[in-house]
Amino acid sequence: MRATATEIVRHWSSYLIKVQQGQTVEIMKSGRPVARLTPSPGRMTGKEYAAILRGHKPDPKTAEEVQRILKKQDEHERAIFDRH
Amino acid sequence: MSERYLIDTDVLVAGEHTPEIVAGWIETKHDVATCDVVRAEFLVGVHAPSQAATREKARRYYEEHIAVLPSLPIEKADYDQAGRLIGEAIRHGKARPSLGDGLIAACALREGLIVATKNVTDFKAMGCDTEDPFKS
Repeated sequence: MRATATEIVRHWSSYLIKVQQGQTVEIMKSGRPVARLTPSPGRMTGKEYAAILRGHKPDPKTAEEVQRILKKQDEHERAIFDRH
Repeated sequence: MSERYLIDTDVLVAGEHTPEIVAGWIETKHDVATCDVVRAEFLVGVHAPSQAATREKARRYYEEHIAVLPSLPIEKADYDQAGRLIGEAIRHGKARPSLGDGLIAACALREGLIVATKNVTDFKAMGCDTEDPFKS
C-alpha cells in the first residue's frame, strides 16, 4: 500500500491499524517512495516461549537429521571461503 | 546486562531434541526472539531430508515452535556490518564465521541482544555477547 506523508498524518490511526495487521505502507514524496512503515516482529518473554517448548514431545531422530544437514551445509559454505 | 536474547539455529535444533533443557534455560529470560536468517537456516533442514516423514516432522516443529517466535528482519545496513564483522574476524585469525552467522551477529549488535548459541567462538569473534544454554 502507498500513501503520502500528508495522508498518513491525517489518518494516522487507520494506517497504524493496517500496519499492526501485517501490511506495509510505502511513504511517497513528490511521487517517489522514500520510506516504509512495516509491522514490528513483536516480543515474547522467555516464560511464554518455555511453555511452548514444553508442549513439544522430544524427537531426537528428526533433530539429529536436521542437525546433520545444517552441519554439512555450514562446512560447505566455509569451504567456499577457504578456496578464495 | 540486558536480558534480551536472540536465539541461534543450533539452540532451536536442540529444542527439538531436548526441549526440557532449552525451556529450563529460557524461562528466566526477559525477552526472546530470533531473526529471519535463523528461520531460513532451519528451513534448509526442513526441506533437505530425503525421507518425507522426516520433512513433515521437521516442518511441524518449525511451524509450532519456531515460526511463533518474534523474528527480527535483516536491515540493509546489516549486510555491510556482516561483511565487516566476518572480514575482521578472519583477518585477526579469531574465527571464520559463515555469512549467515555474520548477518545474525549484525542483527544482534544492532538490537543490543545476547546471542544464545552453541557456537560461542564465532559470535564472540564478531563482538557479540553470547551465552551457551548448555553450559550455563
